[in-house]
Order: sequence, then C-alpha cells, then structure tokens
Amino acid sequence: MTPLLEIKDLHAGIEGREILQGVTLTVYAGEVHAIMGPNGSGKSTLASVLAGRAEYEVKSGTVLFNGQELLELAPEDRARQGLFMAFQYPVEIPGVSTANFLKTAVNEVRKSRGQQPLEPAPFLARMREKMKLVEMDASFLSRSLNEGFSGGEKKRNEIFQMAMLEPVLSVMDETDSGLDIDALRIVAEGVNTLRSKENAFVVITHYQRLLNYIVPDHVHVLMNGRIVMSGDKDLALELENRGYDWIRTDTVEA
Amino acid sequence: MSVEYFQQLVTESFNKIESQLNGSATGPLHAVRRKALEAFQRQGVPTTRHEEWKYTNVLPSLVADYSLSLQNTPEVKGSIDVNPRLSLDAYQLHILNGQLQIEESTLPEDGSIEVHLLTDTFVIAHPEAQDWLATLSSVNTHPFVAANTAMMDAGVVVRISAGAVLTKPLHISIVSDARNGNVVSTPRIVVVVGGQAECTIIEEYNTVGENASLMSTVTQLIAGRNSKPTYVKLIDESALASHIGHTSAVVHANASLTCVTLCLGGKLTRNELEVRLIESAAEVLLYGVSVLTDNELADNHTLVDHVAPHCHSEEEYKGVYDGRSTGVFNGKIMVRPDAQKTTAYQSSRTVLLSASAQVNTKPQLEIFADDVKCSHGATCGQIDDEAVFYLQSRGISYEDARALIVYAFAAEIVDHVPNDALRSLVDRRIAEKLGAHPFDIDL
Repeated sequence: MTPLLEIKDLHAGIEGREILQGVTLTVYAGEVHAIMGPNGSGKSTLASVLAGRAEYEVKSGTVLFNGQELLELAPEDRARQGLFMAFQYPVEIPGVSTANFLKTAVNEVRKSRGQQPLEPAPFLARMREKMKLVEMDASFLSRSLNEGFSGGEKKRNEIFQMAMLEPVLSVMDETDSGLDIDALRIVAEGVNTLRSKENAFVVITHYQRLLNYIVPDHVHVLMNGRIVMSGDKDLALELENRGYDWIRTDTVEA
Repeated sequence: MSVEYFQQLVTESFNKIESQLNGSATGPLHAVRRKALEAFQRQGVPTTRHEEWKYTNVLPSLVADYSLSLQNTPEVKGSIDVNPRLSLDAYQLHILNGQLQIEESTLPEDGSIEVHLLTDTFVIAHPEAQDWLATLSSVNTHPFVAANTAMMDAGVVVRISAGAVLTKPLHISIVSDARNGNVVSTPRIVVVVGGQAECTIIEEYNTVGENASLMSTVTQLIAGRNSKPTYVKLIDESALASHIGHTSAVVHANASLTCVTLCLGGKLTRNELEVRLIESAAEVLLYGVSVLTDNELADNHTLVDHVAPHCHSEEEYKGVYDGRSTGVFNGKIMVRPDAQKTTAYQSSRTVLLSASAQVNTKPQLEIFADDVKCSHGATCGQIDDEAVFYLQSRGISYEDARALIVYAFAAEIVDHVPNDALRSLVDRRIAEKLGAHPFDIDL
C-alpha cells in the first residue's frame, strides 16, 4: 500500500535558519499520528512546510503525498489534492462570509476532481449538516470568516471546513491551544466522526490532553528538528508525566 | 483645448444663455449666473498649486477640443439610446448633455415626486428657491461650481413631497453623448426632500461614444426636518471621461442623510461632497469606495460641517488602487462654536495593489466647540499575505484569493446601498474590475 504521506530526511527552515534537520515520517490511510515536542522543536515549521508557506525554504529531502511530490505543488493544489491544514491561528477575513468562502473553496476542490459545482440548495443543506458536527450555529454562515469569533469558535470553524472539504490528510497545528475543555471535546468529537479508513491525521500538539479525546495510533517526539522517539499512545502519557528532559538526556547519550 | 479655451467656453456659454433670455436678463437666477461667471473668471482653472487641487491635475482633462456647439445640446432625439446602463425597478429621470429629457422620464402617479426646470420663471414663482440657491457652496472658493453655475442652462428641480415614503428609488441617469465630438456638459440638479419623507436617489453618470467628455456637475440636496434620504452617486465612466462633480447638502433637524459614493472608473473623477448639519439632531452618514485601474484618478473631497448642536456624522471611505491609478481622499470635519455635543467620526482605508498606484490622504479636523467627540483614522496597506495563504490552503488560487479579499474590502461599502438590484450590479462590476468571481449565494 502506498503511504498517504512519506517524509524522508526533510531539512527546512526560515530566513536562513535550518529548523527541521532531517525529519522522516510515514503515514498510512486510516492512521492518526501525534507529533509532540517542546517549544521551538520545529512542530509548526513542519506544518508550514507541508501546507506550503512561501517563506519557508526546503533545503533537502522529499515529501510524497499519495506518491506524488508535494513540495512542487502550490498551496491551493495541495488542498485540491486532499491536504488540509487546521491553523493554529485561523485568519480573520472581513467581508468574506463563511458560506461564500466555503462555496468557493469546495467548488474549486470539486472542479479539480472533475466534479460539477454544487447547487446552492444542496450545498446549504450540507453546510447545515456539517456544522452540527462541531455544534456551530447556522448564523456563523453569514458572518465574515472568523471575524470576531472567539478562540473556540475559530477552531470549531477549522474542523467544520475540514468536514466540508473532505481531505484525505489533515494536519492539525496545535488545534488545542487556547481551547477550554468543552471546546476541546467538541473539536475532538468532530475529528473522531471524520476519521475513516481512507483518511489520516497528523495532530501536532504540546499537550497530551487532546490525545485523550483523539486517540493516536502513533506518537512521535520532535526535538531539535528531528523525530527522536516514536511509540504508541502510552508515550504521550509518559511525556505528560515526565516532561521532555529525560528524552533529551537519552538522545544525547544515544 | 487649452485652459484659456475652457475659460472662453465658460464665457461663451454664459453669453449664449444670456442672449436667449430675450432681454429679460434681470431675473434672480441669471443674477446668480452672472456672479458665478465673475467668480470663475477671477479664479480661473485651479492648478496643483491650489491647496484643494494639490493632488488632482485637471489640466489634462481640459486639453481635448471640446466643441461649443455640442455643449449642453442633446443630439437628435431617438438616435441615441439614453437608457441608463443600470436597469432598475425605479422612477427614472434622464438628463442628456445637461438637459432634462422629460418625455423619457417615469414618475409616480400620485405626484409624490415633482420635477421642474430651474429657470428664472420657476425661481420667481417659488421664492423658497432663492433660499436653496443660497445654501450652495460658495462659488468664490469652488471654481468648478462657479463654472457650472455660469454655464447652466435649465437645471432640474426634484421635489419629494413632505411625508412621502417612496417605494422605489429615483434613478437619475446623466449621460454625455460624445459620439459626434468631444463634449462638455453642466448638469445641475436640485433635490428637495420634504419633511418626514423617505427616499433613495441614485445618480448614475456615464458617457456614450468614443470621444472625450467633461462633466462639471452640481447637485444640491435639501433634507427637510425628520426626513430620511439616501443619495447614491455612481460614476463608472469611460477612459476619456472626466467628471468634476460637486454635491452640496443641507440637513435640517432630526433628519438623517446617507450618501454612498461609488467610483468605478473614468479618466478623472472629482467628487466634492459638502454636507452642512444646520439644525440640531441632524445626522449624516457618508460612505465611499473607489476601485481604480490603469491610469484612472479619483479624488474624493468631503466636508462635514457641524453648524448646529447634537448632530452626528460618520464617514467611511475606502479605495482600491491598481495599475498606475491615483486616489485622493481629503476629508474635513468642521465643528463650529455652537455645535456642542457633536459626535463625528471619519475613517479612510486604502489598499494599493501595485507599486505604481498611489494614494494621497488628508484628514482635517477643525473643532471650535469644546464638548464634542470626534475622531479620524486613515490606513494604507497591501493585501494581507496571511489571509491570502489561508484561502489558498483551502484550494482557492493565489489570484482568486487576492481578488476575493479585495472584493470583500470594497463590498463592505457597497453594502450600504439600500437597493438590492443596484447593490448586486455594483458588486458584479467591482468583481469584474478586480478579476474576482462575484458571489451569488443567498442565505
């Protein structure tokens, strides 16, 4: 089986600083991978490089997405082929309603898949259905995208967009940051509903808390730009109890 | 045509009108014309050395060889489609080369809109017209108001009856016929909104034909007590059309006036909008947006003059400038000594889409009362890269993402247009100009 995502020895950074120093990671359909690590370890850089932020430079290494070179694609083409990034800080876009934005986005993705654009009525029905997943009120549809949304509402909106765009691979960049416990539960339940044998998730987080709700198949520790340890969900619990220092010691000794 | 030629044109137009008065050149309106001619001759055409014209050079708009014979003279009737570009379910008035085409107009049957020609006969029969004329901005400080006044033949008076609530907007389409040569026209409109009346007036300016046109326009608005008029001015002109327009409004007690100025193109567009809040608890809301490309220029000069106490004004202007276009925003708020408890806010925001586009912004607050709340803010920026990336990450192309963001920025002003059909037409036009896809989802 071809992996959904295959990162090999990825070196990348920003403004001349190399932050990722040889990341290797393989994700298959049906899997949830958690990437944990202390501040500055390169977690968000990894998410940014995968999503295609222009300011990040890739020095070397390869990333295959569904067997295709990901790094050569523009961000919109990555999205059209089924990659989704849930932003740590979703952007407020005044004047663009959530509904119109999603209509444009969903139809762009459909177009690239050779599908007809959705008619307004079924599209609206689908939006209403998917909003229930994250307990969003329909009034959000006519409001400007993320404008004046609370932190929790913005993150729920990210999961709502994920549900509408039906990606095969979702990268969640610290989606749990700034969430209270109820919002965390709603977001996690939304993700769990979307989990299937055909898709996969890379969940980037500081804390184990989120992983109580979104139970990962694999947990990786990213430190100094490399994955220094991998394990199952118990590794996350161990990190929660012991912090990261013991790994630092271990890896230095190794 | 040179500047001197334009000055000569103003004088000749004045003389032509005078000669048609059959010796009765003593009427009150003609006296106003004569004073205006003197004021214009004294000032001449303003150059960029004139403080109020510092960023807007009108000289290139005056070089075309405008024919006097075409000036204010409609071409053969029926040979021209004077129908406006906008097709609205509205009452209609057509003004062609400055002249009212009354047979082309549609007005309500109940007489709630009266239309008259502004002539000496009218002014003599309606003494209140002298008061209206007196509320116009000074011809001594506004050279093109002076030119328009000196050159105006018969203006158009529109009276909305007291207490009338118009169910449809009044759409005034003002067209220059430049098919047979370069044309100058001087439309003059007076709109008197009776007490308690509610109405929407849409002025749409455009030019037909392939030659140059210059419109020097003056509109006066009088908002009676407790009235609620909305005034929309739409300029979507050809690359050879210059529009030098002046709107002068007075707002009486408890009235609320909303003005929306939409500049979607033209070689040169100057919109002077001066609003005087002359009785207490009057309100004015000013909105404007300019979306320009190529070498277009739009200059919005606004004045909100708080004369009376307890009045409120709010002003929000936006500009989107691409290509080598130029935007000017000069917004002045004047609070006179008696205008205590004034609240006045102003904001101007600009997005520059190209390195060659430019904007000149000048907010001015002159406050002579001590118990007031006033503020202004101005921003100028580029498109937020993070917002573009966010949209790209959802499958929207870089170009579409930029267009969508800019479109949304401009559309926030268009939302203040109270007529659905006009709003969607303007939205579509802006989207077209920016290369964005307009949206059609209704919730």
